[in-house]
Amino acid sequence: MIVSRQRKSFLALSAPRLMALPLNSPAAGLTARVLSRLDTAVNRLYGSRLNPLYRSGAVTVALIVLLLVTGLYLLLFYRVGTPYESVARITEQVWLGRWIRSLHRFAADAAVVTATIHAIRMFAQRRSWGPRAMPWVTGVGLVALLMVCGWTGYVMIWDTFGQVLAVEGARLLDLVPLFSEPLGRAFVGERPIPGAFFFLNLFLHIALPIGMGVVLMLHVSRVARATLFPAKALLWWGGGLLTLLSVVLPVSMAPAADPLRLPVTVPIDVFYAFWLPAAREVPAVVTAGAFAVLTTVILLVPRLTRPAPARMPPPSVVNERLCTGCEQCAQDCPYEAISMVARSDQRETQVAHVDPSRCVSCGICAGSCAPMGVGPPGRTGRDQLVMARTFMVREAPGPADIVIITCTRGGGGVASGDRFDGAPVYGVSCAGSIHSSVIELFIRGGAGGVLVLACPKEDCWNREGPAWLEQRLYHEREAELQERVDRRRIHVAYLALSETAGVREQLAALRARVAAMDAAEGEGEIDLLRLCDAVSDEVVA
Amino acid sequence: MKPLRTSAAILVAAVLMAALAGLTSVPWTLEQSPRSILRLSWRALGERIERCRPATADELAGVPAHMRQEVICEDPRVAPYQLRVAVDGRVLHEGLAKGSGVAGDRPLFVLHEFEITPGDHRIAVRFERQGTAPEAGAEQNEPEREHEREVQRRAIPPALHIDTTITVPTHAVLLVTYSPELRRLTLHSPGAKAGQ
Repeated sequence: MIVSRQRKSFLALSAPRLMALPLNSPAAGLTARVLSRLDTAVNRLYGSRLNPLYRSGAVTVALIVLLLVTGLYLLLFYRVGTPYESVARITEQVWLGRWIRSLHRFAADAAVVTATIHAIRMFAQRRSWGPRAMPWVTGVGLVALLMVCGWTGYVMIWDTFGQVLAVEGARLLDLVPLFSEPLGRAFVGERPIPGAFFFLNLFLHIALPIGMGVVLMLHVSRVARATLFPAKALLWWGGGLLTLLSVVLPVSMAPAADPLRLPVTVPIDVFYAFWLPAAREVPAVVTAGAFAVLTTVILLVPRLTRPAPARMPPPSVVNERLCTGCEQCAQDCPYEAISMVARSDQRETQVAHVDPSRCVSCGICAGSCAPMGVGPPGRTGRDQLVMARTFMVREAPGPADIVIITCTRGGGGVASGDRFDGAPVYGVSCAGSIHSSVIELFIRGGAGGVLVLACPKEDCWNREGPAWLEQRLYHEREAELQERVDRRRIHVAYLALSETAGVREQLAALRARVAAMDAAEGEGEIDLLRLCDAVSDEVVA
Repeated sequence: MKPLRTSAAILVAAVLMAALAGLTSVPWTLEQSPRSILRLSWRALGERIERCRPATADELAGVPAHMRQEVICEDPRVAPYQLRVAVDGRVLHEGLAKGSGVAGDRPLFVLHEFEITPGDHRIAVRFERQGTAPEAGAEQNEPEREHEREVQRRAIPPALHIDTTITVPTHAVLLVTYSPELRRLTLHSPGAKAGQ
């Protein structure tokens, strides 16, 4: 009964409760499960390092850079006076023109896909509210700019698709009572489309990416060490595949625009004009209304997914008495929420200060602080030790037992149970928030080994948790695992939520290793005893 | 990586790339049936209607010397024009075209589209000013009267019409527009054959 009460108390404080906080959206939960399975499948095929789903945001940025490079080449040959003819010339005559143009098009389409995946991931991982509201809103702005940039790009070609897009766009813009003359009249065939229109369109097509750069800076302004590009391997593979696609299946020219001819069949780019077929069937005001509603709902996601104040995870706090001013927490914070300020006591060093408006309560600072003076309330290093001791009392692991410390957001999804394959499970909100003293406590408290299950490094919900964990365990980053702890009894595995089979494998491997170590140590003891006996015999003799 | 897994990885990448290439250019049939369009589109300066009167001494004294105008014109508007469109004798549209802008004193725009079947059609479009043209005020001085006459000269004629029979090809757009140079309505269509 007492154990049961202790268990309840532990749950009340521990990570699973904290994880449950943002799970207020069934849609987000379902999406997260689907994404996790997809992650697992992609990891199996390509490995987590090459999983583009994990780095969808960085891949989008890389694609935009590719768009800029290929766009500069195309710009050399584009003529606003003869838009269609110049694009046709690029496609047919200019050296590399067809492939560069295809690469430009495919990169633009891929950017829409990866940006959408990135947004869905952030939504599913509930990383869209509180301090993350600003990145969410700027992200929506980036996607909007990307779409408009794409539309202007298609209008630049001035083929039948560009014409349909321009007519529909003019129909929508004519709803805004700003223009002295209906824009739609520009495309009725009454007079040739003026070069000024294509110049303005080209200007927008070039200026919008500059605007995107500014918004991107805002987008990543709340994170430290923003990852703007994916791993080189992913970059080369992705770029290589798109280049190969451009060579094998290059884009072709659609018929030229003709305002006095109804386009019968138009090759439509689904990524940029998925809305076009429906929009043509309804009045412009309905289309504009649908866009407005959709945009409003997406922009309101931070508000809609925000938990009630009582259920909101609290930001980290600093115990000034314990803080030595080492700055490690400020260095480790993935959100630049911690700064060093003057102390209020008489000591010479500075003291850490947490900006609550930037803190997402990830708890990584708790794992970084050797004197355990910072962290979210209830999850500081000291709180972790209290919970770990309670856990040890309840589970009482023996030398043959492996304790699993797992991130509740990944780690093969074993955090939901008390035990996995007979091993006691200790859930934490982020592997990067574990204080190394907790691991030491488990090992020195009698457990045979500790299996730490973190999310894949590329998919940490708190960005840098697994990286800091690894550094603290194996590379003496503060607060490092003490040398007296036998690291052979510790294993860190990086697994997505649905990679449960991987947990089984890793657990079995660590069990075997610990057993072998114990056996070897046992044999060593026997040998020593034999040696001692032999020496004793000699002495007796 | 095992050969099977490598093959699967290559296959998945190939399928995704092919899907990307396919979705970038999906044929979309806009015109399910053979049809054509009769499009009316023009921009024109309509005749101006405004009430003018001599400025009072107080009004002239109330503005700086360089802004003083002896005649003050109020409530400027563009005369409304009646548009009537008939195809083969059937009236498709009948309505007023008014000057654009909040005050209704800007050029008037016409932009209408009507679906018609390909083949021979008699197209009749009439665009006529409603009401009578304002006379230049007796109280206006000569430069103002000249300006007024210039404005009226640039305005479209009080009545415009086109009445013709034409063979309209499938999926063609028949454009009726106003030519400021010719000061009359004109008809354009690729491949259309004008009748009588």
